[in-house]
Amino acid sequence: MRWTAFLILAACLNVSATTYAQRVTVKLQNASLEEVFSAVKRQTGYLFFYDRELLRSAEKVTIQASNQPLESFLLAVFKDQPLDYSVKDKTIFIKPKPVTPAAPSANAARQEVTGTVTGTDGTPLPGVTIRIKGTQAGATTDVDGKFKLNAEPGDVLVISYIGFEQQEVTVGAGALSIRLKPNISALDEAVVIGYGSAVRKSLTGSVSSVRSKDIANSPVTDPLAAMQGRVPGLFITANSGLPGTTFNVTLRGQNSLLKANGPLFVIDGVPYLEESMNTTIPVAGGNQSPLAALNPADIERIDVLKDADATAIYGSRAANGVVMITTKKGRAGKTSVNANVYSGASRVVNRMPMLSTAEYLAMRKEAFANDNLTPTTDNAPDLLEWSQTENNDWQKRLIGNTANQTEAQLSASGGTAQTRYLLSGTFRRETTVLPNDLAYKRGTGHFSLDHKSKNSRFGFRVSANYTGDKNNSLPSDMSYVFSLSPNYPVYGPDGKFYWFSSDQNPIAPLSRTYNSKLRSLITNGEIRYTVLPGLTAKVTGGYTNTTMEQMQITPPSSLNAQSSANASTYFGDTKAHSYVVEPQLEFKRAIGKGDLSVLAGTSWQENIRDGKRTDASRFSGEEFMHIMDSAGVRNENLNYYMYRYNSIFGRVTYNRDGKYILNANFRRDGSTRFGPDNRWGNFGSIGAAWIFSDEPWMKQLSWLSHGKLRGSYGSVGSDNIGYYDYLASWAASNSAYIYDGSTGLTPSRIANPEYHWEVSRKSEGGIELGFLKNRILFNAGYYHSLTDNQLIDLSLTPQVGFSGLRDNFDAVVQNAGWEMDLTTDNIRRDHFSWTTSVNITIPKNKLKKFDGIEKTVYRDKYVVGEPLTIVKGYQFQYVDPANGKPVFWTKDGSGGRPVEFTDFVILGNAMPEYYGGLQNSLKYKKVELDFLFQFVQQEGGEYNYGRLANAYGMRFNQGREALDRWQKPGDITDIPRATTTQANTLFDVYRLSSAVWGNASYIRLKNVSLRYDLSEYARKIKLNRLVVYANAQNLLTFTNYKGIDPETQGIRLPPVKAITAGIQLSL
Amino acid sequence: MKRISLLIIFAATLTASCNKYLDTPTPKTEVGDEKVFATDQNATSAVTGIYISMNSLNYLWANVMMNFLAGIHGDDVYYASNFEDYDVFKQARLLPNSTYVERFWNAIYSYIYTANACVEGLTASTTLTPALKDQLLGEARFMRAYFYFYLVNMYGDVPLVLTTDYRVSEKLPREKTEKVYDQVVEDLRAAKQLLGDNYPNGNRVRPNKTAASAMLARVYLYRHEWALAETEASAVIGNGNYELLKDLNSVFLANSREAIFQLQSVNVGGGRNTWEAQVAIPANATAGPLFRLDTINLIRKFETGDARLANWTGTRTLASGATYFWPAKYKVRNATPVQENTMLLRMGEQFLIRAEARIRQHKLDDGRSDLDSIRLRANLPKLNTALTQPQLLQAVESERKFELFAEWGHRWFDLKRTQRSTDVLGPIKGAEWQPTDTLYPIPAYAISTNLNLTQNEGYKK
Repeated sequence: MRWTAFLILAACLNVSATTYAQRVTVKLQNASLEEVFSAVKRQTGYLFFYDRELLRSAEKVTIQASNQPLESFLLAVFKDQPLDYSVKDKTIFIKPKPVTPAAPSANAARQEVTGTVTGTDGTPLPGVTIRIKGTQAGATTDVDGKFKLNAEPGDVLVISYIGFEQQEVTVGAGALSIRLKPNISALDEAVVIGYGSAVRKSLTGSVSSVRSKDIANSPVTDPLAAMQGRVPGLFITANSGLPGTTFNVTLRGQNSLLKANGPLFVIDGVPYLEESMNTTIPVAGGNQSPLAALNPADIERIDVLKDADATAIYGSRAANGVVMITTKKGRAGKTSVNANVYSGASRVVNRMPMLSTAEYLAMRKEAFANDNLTPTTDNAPDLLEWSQTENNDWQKRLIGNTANQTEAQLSASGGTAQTRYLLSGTFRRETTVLPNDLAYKRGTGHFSLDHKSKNSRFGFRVSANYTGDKNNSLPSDMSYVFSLSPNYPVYGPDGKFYWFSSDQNPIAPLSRTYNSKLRSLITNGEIRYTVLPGLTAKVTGGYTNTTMEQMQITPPSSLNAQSSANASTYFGDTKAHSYVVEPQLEFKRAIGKGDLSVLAGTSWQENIRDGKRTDASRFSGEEFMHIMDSAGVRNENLNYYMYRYNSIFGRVTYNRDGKYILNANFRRDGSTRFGPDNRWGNFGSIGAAWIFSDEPWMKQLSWLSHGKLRGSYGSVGSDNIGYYDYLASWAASNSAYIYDGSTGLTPSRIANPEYHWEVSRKSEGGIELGFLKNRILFNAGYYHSLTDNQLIDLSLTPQVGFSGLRDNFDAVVQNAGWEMDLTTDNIRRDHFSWTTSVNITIPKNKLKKFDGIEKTVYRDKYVVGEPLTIVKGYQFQYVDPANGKPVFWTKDGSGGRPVEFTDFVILGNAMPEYYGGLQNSLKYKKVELDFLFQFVQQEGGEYNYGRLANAYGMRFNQGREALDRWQKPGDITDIPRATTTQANTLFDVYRLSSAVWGNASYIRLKNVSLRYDLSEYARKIKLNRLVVYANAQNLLTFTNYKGIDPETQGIRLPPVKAITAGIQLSL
Repeated sequence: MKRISLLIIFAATLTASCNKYLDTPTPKTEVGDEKVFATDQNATSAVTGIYISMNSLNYLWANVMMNFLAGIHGDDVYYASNFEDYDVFKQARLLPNSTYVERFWNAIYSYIYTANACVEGLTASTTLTPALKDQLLGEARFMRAYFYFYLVNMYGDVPLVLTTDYRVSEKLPREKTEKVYDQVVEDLRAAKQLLGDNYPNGNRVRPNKTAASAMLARVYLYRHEWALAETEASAVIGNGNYELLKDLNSVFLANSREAIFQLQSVNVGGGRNTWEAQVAIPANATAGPLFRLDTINLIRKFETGDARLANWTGTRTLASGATYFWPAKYKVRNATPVQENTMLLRMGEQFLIRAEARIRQHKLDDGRSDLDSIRLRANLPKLNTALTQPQLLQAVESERKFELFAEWGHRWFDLKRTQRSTDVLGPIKGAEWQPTDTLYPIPAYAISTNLNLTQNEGYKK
């Protein structure tokens, strides 16, 4: 049934032609071929089909014809053109004239010239056009990049190839070896967009890209880490420095009050389920990043689609932008085998300097004196029982080790102009900065095959990524040890772990284990067929299958017997699979002076996730804790959903003269995340661009090589909410809880079948300028987005029995901002080149409207008119010099203890004020150096911010600013006096106040890459290519932040700085 | 024209097929509303869900919190260290945003939601076995009454929510305590009719007819309906299935003959039995107890020879020389199979209810004899036959204190309902004490989300 519908659609799109006269009357002087074509089309109804690029080589035409048969007219027109044509049905196809070997000449000097054409990396380039300057004679290269032609010495050969700079070579003696440089004008680059690709110059929307070189230069596990600082509008922060952990990704600000604000990820054209496979089992550093299943080395490019114009084709999932990841494909040519190995070491970027034992004990004694208390063995073992001299640097001991990483990749690629393949395998091992022997290990296989028939009408491609990883980690982040007393004993006199009261021993948690195994298969493919000239039908599809097994063991020996926690093992087992099928029709045709292209398609998608967490305890012994069957008690928790998604979508693009471009998108989406009556939503956009530098009146400005204005407006949505909030149902209680022989059911939720899509209305305007033959490129864009119908948890008064229900709320979130990037080609000489690119984003976020906020849980968190990312807390005023107690602002001016929420002020904004990156690429002969600085201007909570921070003087160590604490009447300071009880210095207020909120800006030398190309020596040992290199990540950080790290903030394992060295070679 | 009609056909077929494609089934971890009260098994699970929610976790309301934290609020229990969440109870300085003031309210109303959903679903169902339907409906109404009994005793007037329709329940104002009690009595009477004499599976972990009587006896006592209280308590005491167990160490065992209604221990991973034992009994041989019995107000007040001191309290002298006592009615921290369940209603209380009801009706001898039953079990001599009514009432208060300490806030509620709180607790709680402290504040969050709610006296700003 669906296929029938599809075919009907195909039929609808097939424009029927009417019969017209086959004679033409034309009188043209010095006209372009396009003008001729349009005259012919008008009179005969014949359509012309051609690549606009081809017409550039065409000569102007002067012709006069009166009622001339079409055929002879065309012959006349094309006589002196480097072009040929053929007629089929009612379409005239324009193609280049076949290159014929030059006619044998009487000149005896003519000789056979041979040569090879390769890219800068030495890969042979097939299909390159070689022409003898000033003649039509020439040749093309074969699969191995080799060519042969007859020429005279002194002839100049013009070598041209799409995507490469044209080059001229003078024929001399011997074989020619020609290396083509890639065309460096970023404007001619093809970028990946939703359901297609486009040339950057003619884009109407906002798209930023990261290329494989920059990804490959970063010694990281997750592709997201390689994108930090490189994309305007995209703010990425690490959650932890442990390998494989998640990142926070925000594109152009937080649109939604719910936390779901990540972009949609699309891999090779197929939407990817960007969801961690972890069950709720805790693990240090948090869940595993779903993108860690993708090997950065297998990525060809990443294009980030930002505005409505670029994203609306993804409709309901596009509110937070779309990240298009394209994996590597095979290259035509003889089989090339590449190997790449690197290895290196890493450490945490920073450790926090703390008080020494002597300083700490002094502060403790002072605290007891201040409180008029006598230390006892119960409240002050650190003063009375523990060593008074031992000085442990817990951070050094637990997170201060050196981790190492090794990655090895082997790939083979090759093929013909018709069929290309790539096969690669990568192994990566990365250890951690913890003292245990912990590691993240990953093996990935990547396969890509694409084929097209000889006449290019039929083609297909398939690619598959298989990843298996093993993560040996710990159940919890060890960074919390930073505040342990520096004289805390690890072992008691009996040689066993020392336990005080209900404290956690600092070393015991290291004997707990967390292991996970992930298997991920991501496959996708496409089959396309050109049904009629200009009309292509294709079906893309994808299938993913991911499983994750987790096991966390807490052995009894790692537990304080005082606490009631039981020795247990948590087993996690999650399976997820998904498929997507997307039939599409693409139609391209020249209409008038422009090109029209139309895309229409539908999409069916299903995701199923089936997870189980089993908590097992009562093992017969510690050595059996990894065997589920040996547990005496097992509790199971299930997690299951089935998600389906269905859409129709379309796009129309009209490009007139390459100067005026109009683009419109439409998508209608249905999602099972909504009640049956609210499943469907319509989204769309319109975008336009004007390349004013191509206007004749602008051509006089020789310094302006490119100028474009673009703008777009559209609506996109978000369905990123729970799966079943509309469904009235009861959920099973924990299956192990049997009560009087029966399991339990409890109501799942207050179901609301009424809620519907959250919609973002986005507009954008931009200008792109190129100066001095595009050696300077500047882009500036302003974006504005209003997201309404906010899908939130409507809080209910507790007497209802549930805390809330999912509903739309009449709240509007505004995101607006500036994005700019500037690329300059500072020096371009034969042996030395230097380019610089800088990008900056200035985002602004505002809760524009939220009627009735006072009736929701959000009233304590948000303020209308302020950003969603504000942080509220108490306003610290001063530490009273008389008694060392802090004083806070209160609404009633009493100066006493402030009241939670009532006396809150806005401390600051957790979103950066601006952020960006600065990249420099230098090349001298065979040496290349790239380095990237990332900069972020922001505020954040310092290490003593948060409900878990402890007062100065309690049995916890403090940072070195504690030395500035109030000690005697008259001391002027911001640090309160030492005390043994939080309440004495209102520390429970202080730790949520402006006193511990401050500047968290930083500049980070994110990436440095140094490469030395030794290929010229390598050829002697039959290697095509040999490069040695060194890379570094997070090498230097400049910050005034009071805490461990301004990127991760709080008490977490900070990112690591890594230095690696490697070698890359090709056969 | 033809093209347009084709497009319309296309769009129509596509939309039809798509809607079908999007009709996904109920996830396998859930049961659709329409199926819950359709089968005996699902309906039983729905009612069972109430008990499981009450007892699956600690520190919500039932088990440890109502047994020990309510004891801290009274004069029988205190906590080992300073902990603000508990100290507000100890020092009678509860605030509308105190953790447990809000947590109890939220937890009990969530149980009431499930009970209401069961009452609605069971009433509407036509496919259940009639006898089972009655049993389950009786259980749901019993539990609803049980929850409201605690709500009115903790918070005073409370919203009387009897529906799952949030559009109705979210606006309800506080209902007069007497009206809430009327509903409690109505539910318990209905439950008494609906429930059978026996426990469905022989385990005393679901209410039966006797449990309904026992709860009615308590409610009548609290409402000063002495004759009715006596009648109901007599019905329980006269039932041969129950007895005042001689062996104090057996009273709190699962399915003991003293038990009228217990909550089964369900979260028994690691061999855990009741939460009470898990929390109260020190973790190892050298550790001190966390929830401690008050030495001055309770331990030293036991009459000499009271067997309950020896059998129902635990004691330990720490290295520092200090001696601490803990509530040891529950004795089994870990054991498989489970040996103890959390007691909700037991015979001891019924004797005390009847004693008080009789004495109030001037049946002094009968009342005294009920008190003596309790005293004899505790190895204490009988009361002096010459005691007057006020003296006997004083004896009831005292006997309840030693029999029911660290159980479901009995002591706290007793002092309140007999207007003795200020006399007894005032001196103990210190300067913060006010007569209005007998009621909790209405949670701040509840008021801020339902503007129809008012605050209790003594907690208004």
